[in-house]
Amino acid sequence: MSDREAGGQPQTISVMIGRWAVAASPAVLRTLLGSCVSIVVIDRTARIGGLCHVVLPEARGREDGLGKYADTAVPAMLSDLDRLRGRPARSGLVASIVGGAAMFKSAPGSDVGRLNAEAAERILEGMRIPVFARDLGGSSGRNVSVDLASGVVRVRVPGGPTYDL
Amino acid sequence: MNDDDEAGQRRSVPRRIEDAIRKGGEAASESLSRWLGREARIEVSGVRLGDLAEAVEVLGPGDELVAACGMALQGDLSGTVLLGFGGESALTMVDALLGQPPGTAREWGQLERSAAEETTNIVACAFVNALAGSIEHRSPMVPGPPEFRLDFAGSLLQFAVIDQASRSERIVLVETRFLIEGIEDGWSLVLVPGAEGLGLLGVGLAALPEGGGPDGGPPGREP
Repeated sequence: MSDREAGGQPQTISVMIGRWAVAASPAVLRTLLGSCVSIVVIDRTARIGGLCHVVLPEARGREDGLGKYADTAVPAMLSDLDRLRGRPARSGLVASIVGGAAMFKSAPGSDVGRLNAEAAERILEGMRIPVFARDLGGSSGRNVSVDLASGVVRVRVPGGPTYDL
Repeated sequence: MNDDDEAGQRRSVPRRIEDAIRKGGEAASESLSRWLGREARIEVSGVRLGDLAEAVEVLGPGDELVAACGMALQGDLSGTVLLGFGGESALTMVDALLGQPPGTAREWGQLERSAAEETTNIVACAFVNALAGSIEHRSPMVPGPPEFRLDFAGSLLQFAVIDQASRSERIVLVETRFLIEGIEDGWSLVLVPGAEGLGLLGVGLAALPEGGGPDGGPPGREP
């Protein structure tokens, strides 16, 4: 996953809802969020990282897709990341958490974004992975990209600015 | 409403539900015609069954900026209605409503947003009321206030499908498209039932293919 595309641009890997991906520099991981939350974990020294796009906080025994739930997606992503790094250690990893918007205030489930973010915090804390940046809540979607060469997590909001975390 | 489709799959629903959805479309068409003062028709494309990734693209490519209004439904048919004002003609509706020449409205200011919300209120309520009048239900279907958003199409849909996604890997939604005199493209209404509302449409989650089943291929990983 570390090849450059034709023309010298880094390969961009789009992570769909309820999925995850891991890759090495110079790849870029990207996803689009609403109330879903993206958990990004990077090894800045090795320039390797992963991004998962979770829909709900907890699987509660459901087996309809590990990537949908924060408590199953993060361990699954880290397992892939361990393989890519060649060692099952948590040292050197840092995380960021993005998303969790409440798109429509009156809609049922308008709280799910906050619950997703809280679950992400809890899981990362349990794994002793420090969270170095958060961009959470609000009522807008977010287009998130992670440049594994620089470690920069970039967020674009509709009709608004693009900023780095 | 029973044909397969290239992207996603048309879902068979009981004839009485098919009729009820069609009546919803007719009632919404009449209301929209009166509101806009021009001929308008809302065609029900069908009940779609697709996976999460397909469902979040029904208003357009995920990262496309769309103007849309969302309206929550509570009661037996819980869920979310999204009315997307897509394409170049998005603001033509505002000009039509305000009786001004096409091209006058240039951005989504307060007046334009309010017009979009009122249009959603009228269309969605007509649709849901006709639907409610045609199918058996115990508690009333209560629409919430419409809310305008200028946002990524995929982000809006993500939010709408959350409730169903909490129960199944597959998502059921009702799609319509608008044929409006003088407005050429891009309007669509999507009804996303909540998990509890699916039973009322005769497509209970028990009847859906069970979870699992993601293809495992790119983009993104899922074993």
